[in-house]
Amino acid sequence: MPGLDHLSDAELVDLCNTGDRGGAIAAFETLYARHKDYVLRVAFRYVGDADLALDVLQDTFSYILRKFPPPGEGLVLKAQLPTLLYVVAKNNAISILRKASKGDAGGDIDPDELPAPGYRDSGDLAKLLQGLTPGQREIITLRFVDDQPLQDIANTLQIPLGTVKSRLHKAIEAMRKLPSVKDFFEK
Amino acid sequence: MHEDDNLEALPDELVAELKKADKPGALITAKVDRSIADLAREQFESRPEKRRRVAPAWYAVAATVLLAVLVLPISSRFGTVDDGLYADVDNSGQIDIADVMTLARRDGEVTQAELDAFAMQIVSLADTGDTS
Repeated sequence: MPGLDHLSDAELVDLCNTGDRGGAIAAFETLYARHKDYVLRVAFRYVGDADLALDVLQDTFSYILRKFPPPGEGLVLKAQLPTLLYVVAKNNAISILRKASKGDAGGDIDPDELPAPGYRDSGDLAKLLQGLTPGQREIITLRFVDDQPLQDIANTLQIPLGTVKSRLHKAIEAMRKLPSVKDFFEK
Repeated sequence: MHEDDNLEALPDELVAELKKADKPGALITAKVDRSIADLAREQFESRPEKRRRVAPAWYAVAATVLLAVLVLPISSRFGTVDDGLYADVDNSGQIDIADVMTLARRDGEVTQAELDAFAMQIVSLADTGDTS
């Protein structure tokens, strides 16, 4: 079923829920094509490894697929789809890092040291944001790289809107002092 | 973007630099695409098709047809009996044996079986005291 690009995410999700098999498959493939690059970028921010990022991508869309059980009883979007994809990709990335950590060192990642965007130093974004706390990196990335509205960030991080504003303010202040980017503020 | 979203901003050049630096770090190969497409097919083809919801009107039609099939043969079997038979034929104010006799005098109009049925009805009514 070609030509579903004109449909919104919500309409495609609805088609996955209620459409016949052919329609549901086509709708899901359209959602995948639309958001796969975003999910991969989110994944790479966390895992900093190409192969692991691809694993996260597959796990994320596999998770979304499982949300479409019998027709009419599937996923109900209460936020923008990218918000959901971000959360799922982040959790999958953390899970994969934990498994990798157990495999490599026989230990687990300290929950307080959960990765945030740029956690791994292999990405250029990580280098630019080096020196910020994981939380500051995450909120800067969501706001200025992903262009998420503040309310969507609040939904993504499950924190109040006021907390988002406060954290964002502190993160920007911290960025002004970063050697990697402070020149941008002085131009 | 909401109106208060502009309260905190970064220099445009820095935002552009951040976006440029946000590389996916990997290429999504055709193999990965196929793998997810296969998962989708597996998921959607294994799930049961949506059961068609029968409109309530169709339930009503079906019930009517069923009733017609079951009830019509019965009513037609007694169709010659009920009109005027289970009635106060002689206008006496009650249904009784006199009505049976009145009907019996109508040559050929009432069969013995119908009379028996009517008589049973009289008895039944009499037993309850309704016709006494």
